[in-house]
Amino acid sequence: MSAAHAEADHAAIAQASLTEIIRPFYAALAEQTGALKGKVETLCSQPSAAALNETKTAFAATVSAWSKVEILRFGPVTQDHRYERLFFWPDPKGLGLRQLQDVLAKQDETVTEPDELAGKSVALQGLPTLEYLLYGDGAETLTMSGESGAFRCGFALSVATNIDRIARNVVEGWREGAAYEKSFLGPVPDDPHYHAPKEVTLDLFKAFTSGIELVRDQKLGKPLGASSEQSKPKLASFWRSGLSFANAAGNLEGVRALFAQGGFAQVVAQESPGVENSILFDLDHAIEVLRGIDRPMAEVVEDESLRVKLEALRVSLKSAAQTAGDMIARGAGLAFGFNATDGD
Amino acid sequence: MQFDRRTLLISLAGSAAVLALPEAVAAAFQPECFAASRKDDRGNFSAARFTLKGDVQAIELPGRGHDIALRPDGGEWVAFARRPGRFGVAISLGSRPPVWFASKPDRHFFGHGVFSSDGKLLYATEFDYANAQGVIGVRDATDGYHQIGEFPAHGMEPHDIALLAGGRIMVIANGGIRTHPERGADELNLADMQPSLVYVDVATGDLLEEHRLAPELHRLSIRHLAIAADDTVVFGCQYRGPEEDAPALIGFHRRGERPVIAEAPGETQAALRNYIGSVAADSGGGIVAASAPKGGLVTYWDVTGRRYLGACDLSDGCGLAPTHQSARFLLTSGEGWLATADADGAMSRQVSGFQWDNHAILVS
Repeated sequence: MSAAHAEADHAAIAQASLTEIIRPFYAALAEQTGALKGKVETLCSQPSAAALNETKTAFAATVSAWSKVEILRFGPVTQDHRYERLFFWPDPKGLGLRQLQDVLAKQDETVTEPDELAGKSVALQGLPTLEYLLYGDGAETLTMSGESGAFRCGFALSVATNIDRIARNVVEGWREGAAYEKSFLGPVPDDPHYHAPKEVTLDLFKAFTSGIELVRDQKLGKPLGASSEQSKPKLASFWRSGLSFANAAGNLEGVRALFAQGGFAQVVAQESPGVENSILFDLDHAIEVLRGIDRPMAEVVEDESLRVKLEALRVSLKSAAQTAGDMIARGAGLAFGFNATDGD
Repeated sequence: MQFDRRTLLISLAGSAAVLALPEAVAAAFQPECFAASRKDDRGNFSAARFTLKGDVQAIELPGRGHDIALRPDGGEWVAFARRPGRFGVAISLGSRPPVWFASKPDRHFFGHGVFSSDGKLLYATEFDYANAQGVIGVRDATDGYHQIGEFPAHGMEPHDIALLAGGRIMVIANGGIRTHPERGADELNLADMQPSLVYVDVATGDLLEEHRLAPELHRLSIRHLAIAADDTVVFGCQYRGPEEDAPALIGFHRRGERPVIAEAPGETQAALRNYIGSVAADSGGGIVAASAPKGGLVTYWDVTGRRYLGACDLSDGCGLAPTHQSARFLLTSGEGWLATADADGAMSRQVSGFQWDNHAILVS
């Protein structure tokens, strides 16, 4: 492959990823966070079981939209702690829960003010907090008029508003003419974000491989454990809302889009025609299996037949990531490995 | 591999024959025990003391670890969080529970540290990011690793550190790149980065000697080092300039002299991919290994001759440690390989269930 050809590929991958994935997916997230905020507003002004259910539906839609961009750990979402503020996870020590329960016990009114909330602990500001407020202990107070429900709902509205603002800020950070667009599409040596086109491809490539790894290890491997006795279902993301598998499926949908529409499938096809289809097959199969699990993680970890199925899925994801990873690294001239991160 | 959440100790049985030999000779025949950080197949991070036969002791880490520092009496080892992490943990070879410590709230670790020669203090490279300056944090190893002070690193982004023989002088590899935890991996000063190799009096923190590279090499980030024979500091660099430049990446320096940067021959120089991940001296101090994980190569260098000796291939190979034998090293890989290799290129390797992190050390 000539150098000129390789450079052309990098520019095309950046362009396609920005217009086909990054912008539309973040726009979809902001649309859902806006709708969610509206539902919480209604819930607070007229508490009812029906309003809580509608809010939960909007929450699930937001998680679904978030899941697709959760794999993107570069760009405006990495500024001002936006990523952590949206999604402080994993949280194995339960830091977020402790802070949240503390706020609820003290009825600390300052959290109901989005501007003040944004300056508080990142663990209090995002989707896991809102999940607890909507699904955790005491969530039923949201369906009733009264002081404790009112405080909880005010907190939830503040979190939903904060989430919506952050999502909008990320959309804004990627818009046409924004600094990140400029450096993403036309990196120059002195740019603080990207110094060369290849580095943009590398970030996208990392999103692809670490997106698969995220599902394999964090979303499935850790909660499942080596056996049902060693399982830790509360390590799953969104276990309170039962959205753990939807979240993992959404992550892989983001990975799939990056592969199919971002241009990596073509890189793989150039290396070895046909392999791109087997990667897509593996991803589609995994998404289908995960979408088909409509049960909370706590039940799934006890179900031996599902465990076997999910362990097999973890193996196929590993091989897909390795096969695709090797070919993309070779085809796009990238050096990528556990120990190949600049600065270590 | 199963192990207790905190620690697992497996006693190594000594054999009667070994007891009859002088200690130093006997040690050379004992299987080496190493330590390194790593990640398992489920994404759990840990650090372990291990032989080529398996774990001797392991501890789960809250995030990805980086380098290990061994206390001079050999009685405990410390694992540091990878930058920009904030945790460290001291693990006793005996039964004492692990001692956890953290950087101050407005500091983070760079992942490297070293004990004072009497084992009483632990020095760690840290970033004071509000003031954008590198510091060396000082902790009391005899009292719970409480931080008792810090001194300037005299450069941006101190990464690896070591003490010269005698223990009074510290050498610091200042990478020169400014980042900020809130800006992710963004590198904020590539245009005017100033990497340096500095020597500091550990008793006073005073700057004794400072070396910067030629102006055209100001993007050659000095990051890792090893102390070889005659207090020769061998340092490995990462180049942040245009990829095709492929400058020499290995330097040699003795106090009072000028640094010598040595090139690998022919196509090997470009094959290093502008990136050295780790540097280690062998047990004799005459040979240094330098890994290039991006290039999938481990190179060997002659310390007195300041020259390249050879290389072997190891995909994502990065961690390096001396063994009991001269010219022989442990090599570890992010793809799971554990290998012993000689500077003449011979290598035997085995698979493990872990992705091994950038660095490894010889414990015993």
